[in-house]
Amino acid sequence: MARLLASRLIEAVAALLLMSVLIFFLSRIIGDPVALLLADGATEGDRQRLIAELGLDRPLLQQYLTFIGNALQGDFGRSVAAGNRDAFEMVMSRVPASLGLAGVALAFTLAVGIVLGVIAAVTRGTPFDVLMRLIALLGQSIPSFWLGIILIYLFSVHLGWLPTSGFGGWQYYVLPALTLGLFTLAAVTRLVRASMLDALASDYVKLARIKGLAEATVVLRHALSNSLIPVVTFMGTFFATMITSAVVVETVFAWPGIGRLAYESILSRDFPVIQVVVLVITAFFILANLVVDLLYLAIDPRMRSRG
Amino acid sequence: MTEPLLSIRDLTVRVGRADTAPAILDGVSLDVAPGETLGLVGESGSGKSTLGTAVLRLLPPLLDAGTTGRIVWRGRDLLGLPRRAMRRIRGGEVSMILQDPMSSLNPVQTIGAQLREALRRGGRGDLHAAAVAALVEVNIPSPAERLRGYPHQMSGGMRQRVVSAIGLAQDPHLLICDEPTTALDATIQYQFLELLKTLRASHGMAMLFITHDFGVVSRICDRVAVMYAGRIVETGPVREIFARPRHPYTRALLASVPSTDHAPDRLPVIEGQPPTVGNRPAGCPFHPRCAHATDRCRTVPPETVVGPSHLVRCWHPQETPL
Ligand SMILES: Nc1ncnc2c1ncn2[C@@H]1O[C@H](COP(=O)(O)OP(=O)(O)OP(=O)(O)O)[C@@H](O)[C@H]1O
Ligand code: SF4
Ligand SMILES: [Mg+2]
Repeated sequence: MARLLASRLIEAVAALLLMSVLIFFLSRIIGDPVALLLADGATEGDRQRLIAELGLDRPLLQQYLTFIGNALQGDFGRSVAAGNRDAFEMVMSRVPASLGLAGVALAFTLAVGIVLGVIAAVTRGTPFDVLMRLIALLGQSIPSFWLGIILIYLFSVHLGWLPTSGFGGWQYYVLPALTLGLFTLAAVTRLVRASMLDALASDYVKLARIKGLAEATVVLRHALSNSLIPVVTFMGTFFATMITSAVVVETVFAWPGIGRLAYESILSRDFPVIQVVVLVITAFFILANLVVDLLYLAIDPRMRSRG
Repeated sequence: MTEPLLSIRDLTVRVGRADTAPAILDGVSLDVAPGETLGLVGESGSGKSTLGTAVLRLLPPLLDAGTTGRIVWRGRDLLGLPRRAMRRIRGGEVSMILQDPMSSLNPVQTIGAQLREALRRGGRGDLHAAAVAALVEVNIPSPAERLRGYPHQMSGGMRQRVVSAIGLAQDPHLLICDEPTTALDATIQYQFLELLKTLRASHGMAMLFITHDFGVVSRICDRVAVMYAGRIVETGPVREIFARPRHPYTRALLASVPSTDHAPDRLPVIEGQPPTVGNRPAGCPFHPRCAHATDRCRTVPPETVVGPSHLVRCWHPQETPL
């Protein structure tokens, strides 16, 4: 178990390093940072001065080491688009809003998805089950930008129950969290239903029934505890899906998170900011996978006894 | 004769409620007396597990809905019993152990939790002490430690002993054993059978012992019922059946049992395939494979008494010794 954690930690550092190399070289291949930074009427002299200032005339390896050295101190340069603000600070100021939204969406998704999946499994073949499966299928096929717009139209414009967009109290969370979570909610529901059906047909559930246990105990204590293992397996994927759709959802709802910042900084070719966004998202992924591993250890004793 | 504990009459299990739905079990009748061990032998797919599971009313909903006949347990028909009452029968009066020890324990719960859950229903006071005692009874070394462990930390033989401890936790009158030794290797099989005999004696319980293996039947059963294609074709005391088997199917099974002690797990094949549930031939279902079949065998043979407690369902019971 300690070995598992240690190897995960090493993997995390390696992944971050690899990402930094990618970011560094990509940003040097895709665009010409000097051209971006120069004002319109700049001369060749201005250009050379800027190159020297940025250290772009030094060997690539040295440039990379400088980049890493600065990065470790949280210095990724300044935003090109947003009035010379510190890129790192700019991104970090957006983190809480994104985490808040993703957290609410994930909690809602898991809670509702597990409940619906369990009910669909125990009512297998009834109209409720069929309805659930239909909704889950729809939930996985509706694009989130479209869903977001429909929800805004219905609940904000038409009914006036919830704010159209922006950031504030809980009312502001409802629509974006719903939009962000629906795809994953559908996925969790289907996953839990399928794994519950497997568990309910298993020998250990049969043995639990042979003991004379009440059906609720059989379902919740024996079948559900095993059905949650595949959910944990897919948590990393769910998280990835949420990050990807966060770009769209935050933009549609004008949510002040990293997703919208990513969208804006790509539009304005704000390289220093894009770099930080990518690194922060990578760090989130790694953290999410670590959490998944810990959850595994918590719910599956077979994992605990491995090295 | 003493009143039977379990008396099954004309039990038919169809895949669904319709009269035309294919029948997995077709008019099965049998009795189990208190303390008696009845063996249930037959090829794969003949319906043995379906029969054992039906007694506990644990068949999947589709098959449960298609169950007719009577399953009389100590005077009460289980097929008419409400859910709650049926739940009280499970574990405490009738219990069951399953074939595959690798899958019959919940992988994410400790052995202790799974055992205590059964003991609690049996109304034991000190659950921990009772759990330790239950593991001691099935010869599991360092029981206190094992209680904290998980199924994957144990061997197949040890898990099967835990499963029996769970099965016996509520001191049932009848233990249904669904091929409990098939998944174990030969020496462990032997040990486990001996353990079951000891437990049977100390708990004074009856057993319905499902198996493929006549070798196992001779070790542990008092009487045996031979199943073919969802019907019982011959029943009688074990000695009588071994000495004077009358049904051509029973004879074919017995002829293929090797005389050594190392009986194989599965019954060796008889010429031809057993019919699948939807395609059972009319009349005597064995006739396409039977060497003694005549035109008469296309109609259902009656049950005939051919010896003391020895019944056979065949138009031409065989007389010659095997
Ligand atoms: N839910 C079901 N729906 C339809 N057919 C079923 C169902 N369950 C079992 N059967 C069929 O019923 C027949 C008898 O099955 P059963 O498991 O009782 O046989 P068995 O004698 O225990 O065989 P084995 O020795 O392989 O365990 C099989 O042919 C099987 O395909
Ligand atoms: S009834 Fe006929 S076919 Fe069936 S076992 Fe007897 S002899 Fe064979
Ligand atoms: Mg079986």
